Amino acid sequence: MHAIKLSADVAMAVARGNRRWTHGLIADLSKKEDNKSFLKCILGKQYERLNMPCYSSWKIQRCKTILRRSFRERFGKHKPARACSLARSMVKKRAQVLKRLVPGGEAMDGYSLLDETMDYVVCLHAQVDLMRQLLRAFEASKLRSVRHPIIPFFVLLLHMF
Amino acid sequence: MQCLRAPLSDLSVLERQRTRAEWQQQGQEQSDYHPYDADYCMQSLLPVEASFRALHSCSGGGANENHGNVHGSNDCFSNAWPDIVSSMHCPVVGAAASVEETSVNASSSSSSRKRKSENTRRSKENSGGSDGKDDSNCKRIKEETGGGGGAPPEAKRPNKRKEESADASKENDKAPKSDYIHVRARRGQATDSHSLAERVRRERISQRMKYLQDLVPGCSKITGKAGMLDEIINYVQSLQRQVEFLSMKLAAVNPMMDINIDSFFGGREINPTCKSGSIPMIGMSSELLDQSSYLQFGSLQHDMFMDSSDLLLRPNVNPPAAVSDTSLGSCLNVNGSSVWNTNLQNVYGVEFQLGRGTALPFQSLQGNLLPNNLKMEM
Repeated sequence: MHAIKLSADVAMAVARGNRRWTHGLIADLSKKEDNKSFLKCILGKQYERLNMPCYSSWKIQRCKTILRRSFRERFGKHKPARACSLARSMVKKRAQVLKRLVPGGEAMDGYSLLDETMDYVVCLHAQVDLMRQLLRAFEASKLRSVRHPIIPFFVLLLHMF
Repeated sequence: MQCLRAPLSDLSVLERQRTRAEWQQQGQEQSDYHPYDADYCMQSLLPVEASFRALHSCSGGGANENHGNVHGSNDCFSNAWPDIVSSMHCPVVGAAASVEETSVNASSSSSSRKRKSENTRRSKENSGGSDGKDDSNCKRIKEETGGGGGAPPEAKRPNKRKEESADASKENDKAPKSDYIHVRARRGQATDSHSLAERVRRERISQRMKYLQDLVPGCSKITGKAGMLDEIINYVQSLQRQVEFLSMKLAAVNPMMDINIDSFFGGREINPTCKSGSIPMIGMSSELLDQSSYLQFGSLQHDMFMDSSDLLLRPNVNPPAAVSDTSLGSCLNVNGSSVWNTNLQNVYGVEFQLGRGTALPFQSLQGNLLPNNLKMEM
């Protein structure tokens, strides 16, 4: 059952506000048919706006001739692999992987990718913490007597304050 | 030789450069920067906790100062973000003013300019050549309220070691007050516009990498982009896996019932303006309600929640604030919504309420509690 995960993701994306990765995340989630109605309900008016094609998977438009030329260059001359080009290719590969990980990352260049990654990491971290606390609270409330389920929440609240 | 195409800086920039020159001649460590911009671009770079604390402590001092006296805030800024402080060349006065006035102000990305000081002390405007490259380098002015939109503002310029005096600025009489990144060529380095743009881009990327290094645990020893990216990738993957795992565990802890979403939301009018309005419709199952008499607790919190429901609309000013407050709000939400849902037989994601927490009733507490919360949570 992915209901919890879905709602968690939506919650995180909505909570964070306007970032590229949030738009990407919502767009990814709304690709599935089952989630569409749910998302519509949650987002309301924003759903229509967010579902525009500019927010869904949009890859950086690269000029075909430039690509062709660089391709030819790379495979035309077989240069010995220099350290710098090797390092660059390594970084490039990892950047590709990161782009796939971060929602909406395909459409970002290197700099904004790092930015969005930072933000995404912070939010993910917070989400994990939250879920852990919830889990703890629920389990605690289950273990204790039914009479006093509110204690863990009180404790949590006091702790926060 | 490249000619001056258009006048570049305005008088304020001129002054700033002069003061910068003077300071540097006096052996000042920090170069000139605009406190408003510093303050405000601090707000955009939030994930670092320490710097965030510094921001809170210094924002008062920074906000009160005007052009000239930046010494006071220098120290606190330098403690937290030595990089930024030393590289604070925020060129835009008008932008700062606009930041002050309006809260959300996503300015269109303008081309960044490069100004280089040469022997002849001529400056060059470089809007044409570097336009394409500089979309990512552009300084965008906005204040992050709920995450304004677009990339976060980049108000810092890489620090250039001063080679010439500020006389280079004499030629520049006026420049439109817009967001330009002023870059000065370093001694002995190419003054080509492209290479300058490249250098700016590289330095910004390395700045970001440094922040990420602080963010991702266990990355302090790793140098080099590839290794860092590796660690970042691993960390993101592990976090995502943890989220999945925890969601499964939560699903196991709470007996969830199958719901038909369409019928669930069918006849209801959801107020789009009040995001939290949809929460009441999503609640705990009656089972859970029986098990744990949330009602008791919920009623306590209900008033609080209702009073602050209007606050839920506000966009989040500080992402970490939003992020850390979710923990605070989640418990409340869990209970608060139960009050409204006594009759509801359906359960939907408990997790859903997590998100509501952001637009929290506790925004008032953000300022003081945030560092503590962050500390606790993370």
